[in-house]
Amino acid sequence: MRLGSFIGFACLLTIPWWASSFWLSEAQTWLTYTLAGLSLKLLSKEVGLISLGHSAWLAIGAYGSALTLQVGGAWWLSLLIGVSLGAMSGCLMGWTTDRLQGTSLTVSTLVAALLIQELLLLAENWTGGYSGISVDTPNFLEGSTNQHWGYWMSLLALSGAWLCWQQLKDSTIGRCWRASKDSSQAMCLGINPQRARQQALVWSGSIAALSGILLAWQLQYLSPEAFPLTLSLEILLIGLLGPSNLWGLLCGAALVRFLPQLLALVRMKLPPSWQDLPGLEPLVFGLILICWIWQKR
Amino acid sequence: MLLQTLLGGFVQGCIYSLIALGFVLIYRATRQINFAQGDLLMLGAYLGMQLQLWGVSWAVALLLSLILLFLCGSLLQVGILSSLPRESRILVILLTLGLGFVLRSLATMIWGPAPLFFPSPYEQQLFTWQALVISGAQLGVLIGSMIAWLAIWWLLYRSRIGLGLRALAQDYWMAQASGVSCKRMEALVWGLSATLAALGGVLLAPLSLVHPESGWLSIKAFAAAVLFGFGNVTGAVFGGLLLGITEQLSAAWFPDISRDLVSYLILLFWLWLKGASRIGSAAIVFSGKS
Repeated sequence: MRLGSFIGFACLLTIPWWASSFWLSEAQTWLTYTLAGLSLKLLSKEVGLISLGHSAWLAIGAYGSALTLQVGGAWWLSLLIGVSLGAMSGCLMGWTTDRLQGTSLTVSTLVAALLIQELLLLAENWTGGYSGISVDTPNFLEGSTNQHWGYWMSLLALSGAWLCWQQLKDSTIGRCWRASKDSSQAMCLGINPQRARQQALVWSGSIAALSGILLAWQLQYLSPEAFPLTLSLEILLIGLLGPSNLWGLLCGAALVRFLPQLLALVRMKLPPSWQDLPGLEPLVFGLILICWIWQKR
Repeated sequence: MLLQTLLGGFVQGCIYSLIALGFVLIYRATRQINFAQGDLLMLGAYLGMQLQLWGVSWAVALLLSLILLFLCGSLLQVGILSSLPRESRILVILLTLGLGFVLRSLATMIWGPAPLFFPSPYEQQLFTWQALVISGAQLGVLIGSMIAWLAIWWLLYRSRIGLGLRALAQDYWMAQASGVSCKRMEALVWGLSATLAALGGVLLAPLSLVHPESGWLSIKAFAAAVLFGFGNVTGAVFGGLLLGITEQLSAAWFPDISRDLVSYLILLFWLWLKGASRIGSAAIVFSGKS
């Protein structure tokens, strides 16, 4: 198992040297999506909460970082601000988890995702409204090999987040998380379940914000349409579909990320009147979600 | 001017209340939340439009679309939802959300992403009463939703089926033991709320055009459903009206702020205020009084 992980990691590490520019940027997005899926998996596996609003966290991180870069902040500062904004919103959500459990938390994350889009449009002076803003490239990413460094950065973030989770899992915090799934039992053990859930939300929020930042740095352009509810659905699929290890997440992200391209290939084979049919991707993702629930019963 | 705004809000509120009623009926009877409610509304509107394009008259198209959506709703319950474990409500939310995506993209594929015109017999008419101008479409919404409220009230509190539904809402196994066919009741309730959504869709369509994204209305209708406590049939109607009027007033007074923002904030605040106690627990039951 160890050996397999090392070989896999080494393969991922060397992608920039042999992949073409297109596939490299695809691979980078793939890793970023995996990171976002990981943050959702952390939440659903450890404390049993399901979030439909992960696109909101991604947007918070991305805009936080982009605005810091725009006013001339250094890249590390923008990273710090983006991640702490994510952590803060996780903390804010955590305050309400005592009241909101299960279903109502899921609904409120969904509303939060819709609300964020409205707020981004409302704060037009900063976010540029519908037209969006361009993101300055962080200065260490400039130069000929910036795509390489962007990719390695995503890989570093993903493996860092994964190692963090593995460390947390068997620590006191992780055990508290798992105990907090059953509030009354947790309280019998002297654990404050709300605090545990809040901690998990802070971790999940920071990781999601980090993936948002990486996405923003890669795209170099942000608009509210970059974070639609479909993105939340995609992240949900990544987090839910696979088994709960890194390879499961990577496979889930690969499915979500490369399925649209596969569909584009399928489209070319279709008769001409079907080729520019809109809405094929949400249809397929919706069907995958339904099938997944179907086999769950 | 204020009166005109209030009227607009009232009409919008009628639509919200129809969808909110659908949410509440399903929640009461099965403790599930149907997030495809808005997309069923869209489907109803498209069906009504398509039938009219095929030369069916407006009234028949309305009736057919209601019947078709009733079948859709009950089939969804019988075919998919009834085989899911009863206690996993989160799965139902995810499933209906996925279904919403599927319906939306199917509608985009069949009818295209552009908003379409919905023909109706009363679109041209305008009624004036003192300073108030009511369009035919608005009047249609008012009359149609009032008929729907009365029908639902009658069904719930004056008929044998309603007795069964109320029993089901109190306790599934008790109702089953007393001879209520719970499976049939659940299918009926899903069909009924799909019918309400279709009615809302057909009535709303002449006011705002038919387009695939019109299903997003359901999030706002959900806000309306929770406004006076989720699971309250009368509350859903008044919540819908209140939300519609609030929205129109806020649009008139603060034109810069999106109308959706208001309802999202109401919903978030309400969820925060009494989330777990209402939606999380299953303690609410149909009381005899409405």
